[in-house]
Amino acid sequence: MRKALGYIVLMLTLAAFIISSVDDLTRIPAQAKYASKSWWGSDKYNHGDLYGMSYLPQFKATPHGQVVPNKAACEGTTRNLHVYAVSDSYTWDVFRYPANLCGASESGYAASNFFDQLPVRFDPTARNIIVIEANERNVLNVLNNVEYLNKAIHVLRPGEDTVLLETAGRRKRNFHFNFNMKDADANFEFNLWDYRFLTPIKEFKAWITYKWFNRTAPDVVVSPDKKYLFYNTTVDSTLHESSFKKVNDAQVNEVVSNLNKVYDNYKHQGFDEVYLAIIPNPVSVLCPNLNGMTYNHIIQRVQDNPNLKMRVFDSYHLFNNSPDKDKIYSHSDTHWTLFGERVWLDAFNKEMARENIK
Amino acid sequence: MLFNSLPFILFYIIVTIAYFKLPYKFRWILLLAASCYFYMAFVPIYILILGFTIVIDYYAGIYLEKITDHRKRRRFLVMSLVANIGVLAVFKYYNFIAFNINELFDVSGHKAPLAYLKILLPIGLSFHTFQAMSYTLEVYRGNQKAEQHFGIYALYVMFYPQLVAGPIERPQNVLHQFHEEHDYDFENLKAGLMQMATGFFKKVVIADRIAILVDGAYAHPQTQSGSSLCVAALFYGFQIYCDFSGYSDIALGAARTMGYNLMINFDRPFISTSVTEFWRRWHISLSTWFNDYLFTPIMIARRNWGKNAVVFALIVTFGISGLWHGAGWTFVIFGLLHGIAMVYEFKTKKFRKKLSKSWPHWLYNNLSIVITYLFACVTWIFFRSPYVHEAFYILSKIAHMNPFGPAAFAMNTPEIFFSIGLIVLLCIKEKYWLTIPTKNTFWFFVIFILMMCTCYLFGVFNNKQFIYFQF
Repeated sequence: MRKALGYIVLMLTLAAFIISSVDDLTRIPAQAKYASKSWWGSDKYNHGDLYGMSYLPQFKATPHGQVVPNKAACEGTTRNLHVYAVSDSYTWDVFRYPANLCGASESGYAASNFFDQLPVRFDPTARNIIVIEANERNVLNVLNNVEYLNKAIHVLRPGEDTVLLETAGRRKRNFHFNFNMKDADANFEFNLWDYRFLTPIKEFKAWITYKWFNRTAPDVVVSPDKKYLFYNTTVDSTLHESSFKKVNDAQVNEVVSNLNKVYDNYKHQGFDEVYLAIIPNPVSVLCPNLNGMTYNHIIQRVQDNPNLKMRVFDSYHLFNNSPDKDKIYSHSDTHWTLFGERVWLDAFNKEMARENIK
Repeated sequence: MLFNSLPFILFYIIVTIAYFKLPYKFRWILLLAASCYFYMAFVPIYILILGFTIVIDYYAGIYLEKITDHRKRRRFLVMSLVANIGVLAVFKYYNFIAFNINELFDVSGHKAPLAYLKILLPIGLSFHTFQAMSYTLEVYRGNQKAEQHFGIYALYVMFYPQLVAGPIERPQNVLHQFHEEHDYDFENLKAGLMQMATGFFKKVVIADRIAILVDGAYAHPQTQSGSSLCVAALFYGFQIYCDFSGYSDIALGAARTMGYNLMINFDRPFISTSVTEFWRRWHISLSTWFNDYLFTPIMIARRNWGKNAVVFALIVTFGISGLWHGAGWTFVIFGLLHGIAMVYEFKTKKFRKKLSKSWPHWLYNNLSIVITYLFACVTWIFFRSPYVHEAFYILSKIAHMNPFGPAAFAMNTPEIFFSIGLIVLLCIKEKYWLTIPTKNTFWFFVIFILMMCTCYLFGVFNNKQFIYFQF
């Protein structure tokens, strides 16, 4: 009996070790775990990604649904727009379905955080629009990556097969073994420690650490009014992603110059308009003077740069001037709320309605 | 692979169970393969450096035993030592030497002649190099038979529990154990697991918690008050102890569960009443290594110098010991300060003995403990600081501090008191038990589970590497 038990434990631990060491093996049970409502499911993203990093029970949010566009805004538009985006998770839901966008008969996105490519069949009879959307924390890396941005929307030549390309959400499987355990650490934690029945223990630890020692998980920062969790990389002024990192004019000019190259590339390919949409970090709108730090205003400095060729969809002023700006961002997630998404989509659709008339 | 990580826990379970499931004759293969994997989890390519020194030392050992000609034997020993020290010199000390030579040229108005190497220091290089050298030295001295089995010799250098941060083993203690047949033993398992739990507790609950305060203070000493830096310096002694002895506990415990006994590396150093005693209790495997292979040979070579031979040997040994820790002047000063303190203790031995008789024993004893700890804390300021001038800056700030002035810490007051409580708890435990007894199975389970729960609930998990990994 004891011998058999030894073999069983050995096999289970070996399986867990191998699965955790290979990213794409971990992804196979991950989808089922995220979707499951039972005890073995995962709470990592169900209640806000920042909650999933910190497990602070007071920030456990209820999951929200899909965004629904305000149909009235689109009344009277014909559907002749093809809108393609290079975007991050903020707007995937928006660009996934043409029905979300006023006047759009085609839409799609290339996920910039996975360096995905979106193959499109160019239709010269439609008005073809590209949106380069990035969260503020990615301005200095994603928007400077001209090589990727220029290839993200791939216009298919006649006879070229779409299936051969990596498309959004369908990345090639890569079963390579992670020798460096630091890279695989997250997988080990996910496979061994990320189960719903363990959530109360994690919440208890997070509660003790916060209540007694005023500390949280290093990835998150609690806002001074204790209502919001912020992603630490957007706060830590030593990091490029931070709203408080000092950015000089040369860095801003470099971003603008790179965006102009992207603009020229897509215009040269025949696209009618290229939009730039930078979504502000929550902390930039909600606490621009957090802990006495100074906001770097990188969004306005890029958008207002006189050399920028792209048309700007200004999310910063949209949110900053909103009377309901405290409702725009989620309390426990790096993203916006359904309300915030709707505010953005409605304003964006007004812009698309204008494009539609052209 | 860090000991304080989930991958290591799984790795340990797999290796330990597989070890007992395999027939005896195949076990060395498993341990060697596991050790290679363990090492390659850091930077895979560096296994080649280990392989190089293993091959050289293995053959050096065989020839040292075979050859009787004294001069030839000496040549083989030198060849082996040069290979090992050469690896250390290139990977650990080259940039330090080049920097100092370049600075000298710079001062004299000449162009810097040496380029710097852009290489990462192989993890635990000083540990396994010293362990390999102790093998050839012992074979040369005739205290150890040369190992004929290449795999077993490789395992002696690479045995995963002590591969990256010791204890630096001697061949007499450990080589024969790899030839022995170890049966599963529940008492060994309990004792090993308890020692590992103690190690985890020291690392994640105490060391990494104190590190929050210490790292905060040392990150920007210019913005810290003298009292903040003083508290950080006092705490650092416990951080480094819990960090390093925690590692040793996990190493010893992991080996123990498979039936291997490694040498103890720490024996309650904070009850030392002198620096000399401190080095008998702190990093024992290194201090005995230096004693056996450097201090004693120097003493013998310079025996005609009388007492000055001791002074000379102490200064040289501790200067090199400082350099062993890291390629920087801060480490050299750290070592030399200890050397000077030991010279002082050597020279004042009679006077101090007389003094101790005129004072109440408890007072003299406790005062000596406090002074020894404070001295160690001062030397650790050099150890912890990245630059010599920064260490002196911290010392001067502490010397001019207002003990009642404001002090800002990277942790809140309850956590500072919690940390002090943990240190007191640790001192009480260390006073009575070097290792927690595990004879009673019921109490073993109670204490073990309690410790694991405490490690989770109060542990600081920030993937912080062990301090001594960098050496």
